[in-house]
Parts: sequence; structure tokens; C-alpha cells
Amino acid sequence: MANEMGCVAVPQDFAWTNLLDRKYFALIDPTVNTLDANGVPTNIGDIESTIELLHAAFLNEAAPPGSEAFKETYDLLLTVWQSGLQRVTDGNEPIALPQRCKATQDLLEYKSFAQSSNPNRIPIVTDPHYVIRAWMAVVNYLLSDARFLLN
Amino acid sequence: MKRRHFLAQSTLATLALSLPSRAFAATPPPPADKLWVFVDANGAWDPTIFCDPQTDETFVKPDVFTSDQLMTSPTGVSYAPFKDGQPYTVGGQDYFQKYAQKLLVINGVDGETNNHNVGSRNAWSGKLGAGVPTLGGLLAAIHTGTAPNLLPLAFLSTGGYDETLGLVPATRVGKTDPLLKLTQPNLLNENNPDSYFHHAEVIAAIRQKQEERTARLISEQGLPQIKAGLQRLQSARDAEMALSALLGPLKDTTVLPEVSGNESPLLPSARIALAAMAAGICRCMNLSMRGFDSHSNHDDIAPGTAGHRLRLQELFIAIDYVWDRAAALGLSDKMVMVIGSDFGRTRYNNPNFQVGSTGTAPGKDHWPITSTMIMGDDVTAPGVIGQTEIQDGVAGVMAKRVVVNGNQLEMTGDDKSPSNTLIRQTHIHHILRCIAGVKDHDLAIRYPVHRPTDFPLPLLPNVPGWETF
Repeated sequence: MANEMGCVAVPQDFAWTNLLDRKYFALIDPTVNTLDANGVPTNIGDIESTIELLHAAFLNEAAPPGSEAFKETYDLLLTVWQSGLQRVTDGNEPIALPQRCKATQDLLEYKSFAQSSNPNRIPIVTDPHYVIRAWMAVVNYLLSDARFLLN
Repeated sequence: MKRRHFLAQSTLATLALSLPSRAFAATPPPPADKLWVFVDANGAWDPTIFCDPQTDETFVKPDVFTSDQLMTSPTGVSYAPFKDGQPYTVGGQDYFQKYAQKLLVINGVDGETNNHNVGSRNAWSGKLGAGVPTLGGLLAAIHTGTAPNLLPLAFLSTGGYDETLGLVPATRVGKTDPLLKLTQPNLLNENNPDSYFHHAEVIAAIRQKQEERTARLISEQGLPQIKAGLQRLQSARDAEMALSALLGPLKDTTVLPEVSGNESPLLPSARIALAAMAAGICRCMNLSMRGFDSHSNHDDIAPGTAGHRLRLQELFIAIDYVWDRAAALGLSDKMVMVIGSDFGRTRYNNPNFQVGSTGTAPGKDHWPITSTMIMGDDVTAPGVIGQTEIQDGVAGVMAKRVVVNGNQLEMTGDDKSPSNTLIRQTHIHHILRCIAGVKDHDLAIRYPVHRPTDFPLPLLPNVPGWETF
């Protein structure tokens, strides 16, 4: 279930064109994937805030930068992001999102975004920088965590 | 999907996969390397029309069978025909002839009750009262204790008395597709490896990080209940990996071709359970089939009716399927099958049952005396033990009391005394626990089935340990 929800929910959130409409990823630009000389993402502040937000939203857990909880999630994000980008670069994984994960229509109205009552969304079908899939992995990880399942 | 629904479904999936957190205090003796199949004729079968045949017309109408139609197996089991003098047929062969060498029929078993729930509990736990798990659950728990996280489907069940008292989950088996999906949770279509939600390396990274985080949470947690919950979750994740082993046997249609429930409603579930056993992730299957509480429909024989013999035929077909496919899978040498029911049935009711507003029918009611069958290589002295007799003025057959002479079981005509006994489910379960090699396991000791005045019976005298409870 976490596999499916991570896959479906994240691209749907990235589909909102107005960043303020996004619930979780208002700070994340899926085209920004650069690291500085120390191997730290150039948008580290935005990543930190997003990880904190996700931990609070899904697990009701404080995960400030430097905490163990933060570090675990950040490590996962970075690992998936970098290894995934390498696979995409090497041609071992497509740029396109898995078919089921593509965000092309409103899931409640079963209409394309353009025809739905909230047309201010664009289809999200590719992920050339592997940013969306890295966040999908993070959401999967959090949705299958004990604090989510057993609390 | 709402979080509430997600939580409910996730919890169900987790429970289905979760393994017991039981920690065994001392190192118990390992259980015997057996695979167990419990076949439950749920609703109370009537042994007087098959393995303990009675020809008195108050028990059996001549159009059902007559004394000259009775047959005898090579091992001395007297049995009645299915219809028109023809035997219960499985795969073109007479069931009692085909399996004579691995079949022990125990007649004259005192089920001690006429209540379905109590009888079923007694038949499958060995005890009339509540508080003892079904034997399949007990054995599955013991095996799970020796192989943590490797038996996610240790106990598969289709229903009946499958209470495990929380020792191990009883996983209900029905359709194949939902199980196949569980084996490959990252695939939208289990037949298409490209239909993944997350790349395999991503899933591996998530699993790795989950393990690290869960280990940290466990080490930091001070509350035992939460700690146990975290450990169960980790076990469930590990078991999920083991569950994927089911995929191979279940999709191998050369050995386990698809089956329908037309011939016997138990076949689809039996197929899944066999696949799980072949995958090494299941130890016990409980195949419970309803429809035996036939009462006024007892003698119906037309196809599609609720007649008792039709259900028996379906039961034998399922039994044959399990043995046949178990042999093909190389599992039959360590398989033990127990076939039983809540209890037995009476003579024809007099007066007849009322049927509808005007009709009546000579149905058969509940009766405590019943039979049990054990099949497998552990049955080194196949045949029949135990006897029943008819007594005037008694509604059903009476079981003969037995005494122990060395390692022999002998019938006695004596009245009740401390040295003789009726064969009861307690005795059968004791011998089954001995076959399983769990008689002295702490879980078996925790759930005793005998009473202080009971003494063990040599139902299978070659089985080690039968002499003492």
C-alpha cells in the first residue's frame, strides 16, 4: 500500500502549478538536482524544510536537521536520487515515471487536469532528474513506518 | 484513499503477514519435519454410511445401500458404497482401496457433545472446553518458533475451528489472485515485472533504511508493548520477503494446474496451500468444508442437492487431490492428514423431521459417536481400530470401551471402570502431538488436552512417546 501511495500521491502534488497549492512539495523544484563541492544539494534548506514537514505530517514526529530521524530520511533521499539519476543517465531506467505513477488526471473526478474543476495543474509524466522518484521513495518509507502504521 | 482506510488495510496486511513475538523460555525439542493437513467435514458427518457402516434399516435405507454391498479394503476396513453399490471414486479408483496402505480409521470415537461449535473445537483442539488452540495453529506456532520470519503462511485455513489464540496468524485462503499480489507488492501486475511502482533498487534502499530506523526505534524504546509492536512490524517485513517464494509454485501450472471448485469446493484452497508448502512457507493447512449438517436432506443423491454422500464424495476428491499433488511436489512422504468432523449422526429420526408446512422427511440428527481418519506414512499399521454397536432404544451407535494391553488396544465389553475408556479426541490428539514430536514442547505443555483420570492409548503404537501424556 505504501508502494502505491508513494507512487501516486507525490506526482499528484507536483502537478499543481501554483506552488502554494501543493501540500508537501511547495519548496521543491524537480529540475534542481545539483550538488555543491561538498556533495550537499544546493537547495539543502528547502530539502530540510520538506523533510521536517513530511515527518510532522505523516508521523507526527519532529525531525529537525541533525536529528537521527532527519539524517535517516535525508540519506535515503540522497541515495535514491543519485543512484536513480545515474541509472537514467546510463539508460538503465527510463525518464518517464512508472505508468501508474503518472499524474495526468484528477483522481476524484476521473477527468484530465484541464477538464477538472481544478485546472491549474499540469501533467507530470517524466522525471528526468529523478527528483520526483526520490521523494516518492521518501513518502513510501514514511507511510510504511511504525509510527504511521501502529500509532 | 483516506488515511483511515489506508491504516485499516495496512493493518490487515500486516496482521496477515505478522509472526508471533513469542519468545520461548528454554530451547524446546525441535518438531518433527512434517506437513499437516486437517480435513474438516464441518457440520457433523455420518460414519454409518461410509467408514463405520451400519445396515440396520433404522440407520440406512435399502436404497442407500444394503449389507451385501459393503466392501472391505486390503487392510480390513469395512466401508459402504457411494451409490448403486459403487464406491466413492477418486481419480477413477475406489478411495478406500487406493489409500488402504496409509489409512487408519478410528471408529467409535466419543465426541462428547451434540453441539456443533463445541464438537468442532473438540475435534480440532482435542479439548471440549475453550482455551486450547486448534492443532494446526499449535503446530504452526511451534514450527514458526524454530524458523522465525520464514513461515509467513505457517497456518492456512478455510474456516472451521481455526482458533490459534494469537500464537500464529490463521491466514484464510480463497482466491489465488490476492495472494499473488501479496507476493509482489511492488508490482501492479505480478505477471509483468515492468509494472513496478518503484525501481527494485529503490525498494532495496527503502528496506535498508527501514531496518536501520526500526532498529534505532527499538533500542530507544522503553515501553515493552511498543517495543513488541516494532519487533512484530520488522518480522512482518522480513516475512514479506519469504512470501515471495510462493510465486514460483503457484505459477507452475505443470505441477499445480489451475483447478475449479466444481468437483470439490476445497480444491482451489488446497492448491494454494500446497503451493505454500512447496515454497517452504507453510506447515499446516486446515481444509474445512461445510455442508455436512444434512438432517432431512441426508439421503439425497441427485446432483446439486444437499445430500450427505455428495459432500463425502467431494471430500474424498479433495483428499485425493492433496495426496496426488503432494506426491508430484515431493511432499507426500512427510505429510500427515487428519480427517474428522464435529461428531456423528443418529438413526433416522422417528418421528420424521417436519419439512415445510406439510411434508416430513426421515432425516438424521446429531450424535456424539463419530470416526476419525489419519493418513500418511506414520500410519504403520493401517486398517481400523475402535468399534461401535447398536443397542435397542438408543438413537445412535454406541462406542465400545477399550483397554490397553501392552502396546495393543483391545475392545472390552466391560462397564465403565478406571482401566477402560472410550476413545476420545483427547487420545487422538495425544497421538498426533507424538507424531508431530511436540508432546514435550512448552507450548504443548501449556495447552494440555487430557484430564487427570485419562490414560494414553496405543492408537499408533509405533509412534514414540505415546505411552505417557
